Amino acid sequence: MPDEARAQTPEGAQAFVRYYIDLINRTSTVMDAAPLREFSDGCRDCNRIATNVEEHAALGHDYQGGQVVIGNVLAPVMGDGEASVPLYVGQTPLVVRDGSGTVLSDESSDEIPEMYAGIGLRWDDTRQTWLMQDFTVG
Amino acid sequence: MSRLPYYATVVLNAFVVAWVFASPASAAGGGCSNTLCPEVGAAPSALTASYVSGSSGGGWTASSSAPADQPWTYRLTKPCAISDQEAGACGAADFRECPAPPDRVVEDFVVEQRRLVLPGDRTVDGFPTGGQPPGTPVGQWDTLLRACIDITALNPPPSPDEVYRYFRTLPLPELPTRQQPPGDGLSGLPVVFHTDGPTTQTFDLDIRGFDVDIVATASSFTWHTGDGTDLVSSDPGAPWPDHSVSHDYRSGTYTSSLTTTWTGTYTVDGGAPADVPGTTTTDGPPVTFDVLEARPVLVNPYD
Repeated sequence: MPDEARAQTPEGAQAFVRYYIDLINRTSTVMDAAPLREFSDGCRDCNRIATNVEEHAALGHDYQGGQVVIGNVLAPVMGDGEASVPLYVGQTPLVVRDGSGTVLSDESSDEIPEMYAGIGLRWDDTRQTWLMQDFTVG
Repeated sequence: MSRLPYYATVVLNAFVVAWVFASPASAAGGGCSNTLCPEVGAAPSALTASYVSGSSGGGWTASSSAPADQPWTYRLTKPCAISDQEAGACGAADFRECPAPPDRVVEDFVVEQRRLVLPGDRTVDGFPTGGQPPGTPVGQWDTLLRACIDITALNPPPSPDEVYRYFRTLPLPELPTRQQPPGDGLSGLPVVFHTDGPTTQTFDLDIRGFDVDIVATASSFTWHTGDGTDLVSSDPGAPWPDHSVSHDYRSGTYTSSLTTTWTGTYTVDGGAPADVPGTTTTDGPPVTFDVLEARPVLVNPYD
């Protein structure tokens, strides 16, 4: 994690969000979701993404694409140990293949154009890091 | 994300908040296997409402209209759906009991809130509107509180727990005990038990305007033999010689009876069937009989 993402400041919250989305993109490349859970504090969508990856990995499936593309990350609304980060995100086309290389069309998706989103963060004093609490898109 | 100051604001503002109940499109099991799962509004099974108002007693009641320029929208989720969202294994035991009068629907929810764009291109806390029109939810969902919410006014479809409350009051058959041989029994000769009452019953109920069909099935039979023994079977038994339940007695007078355990499935407005989350029992009328001691007596067959 970059040092700037460990700051309890608006800039730190923005940096953490960028870092976490990088983690999401890395997860779908290496099919290892543990880092997503490590920085999730009850974040449903984060856990859902992790579960999806773990289930596909267990079945020997492979992801191609599906990268989350970060647009503009706006100034967060800061609370007491919390931050609400407005941002724009999209997703590149996702192709999921089974072990034989067959495309699983039900699991794959078209490109998702950039949409307005919000991420809720909570500062963890013990670990000196932000944690994801919610990631709502659209 | 807990935002107590906002909660306090809600409370001070005459306890009136607006909320939306919707299964999050992004929840596991919600049909989205993508990386990003945009919220696309209420899921088909979603319950949408407009208000929750707090009472002086600390309770919360939902109604279905919102004041103008409501700054938040709200979502109510079953606690187990949050804590156990990946397994999706919510069960009746996961829910906190919410006391409710018979004609009210009060259930345990986690309440989440999301900002709404207000007139003037603003939100209540300065979160950017993204250029969205007034009334559009923006930003993330924040967890607000967990409470028992009276959702009667929203007229939600009957919940499993509510159906179970009705299930326990259904006039289910009190299955009779039939024993063989009829009349007195003989020690050393097993007494055969069975019941010939109906083991399936269908009920068509109207629960707050919803058509609820319940199929009750006798799934377990406990035969109280009268000598301190209980025999349990999964079938209603059968007369000799196809019997499956029998008991040996010593001589004496006995009163036996049958307790039937009923399970059920139900549908709401012809939808998919679901299990009633619990069982109920009925006790059949007791029968009293004597068991006699048979003594061998030599007789002359040529007499």
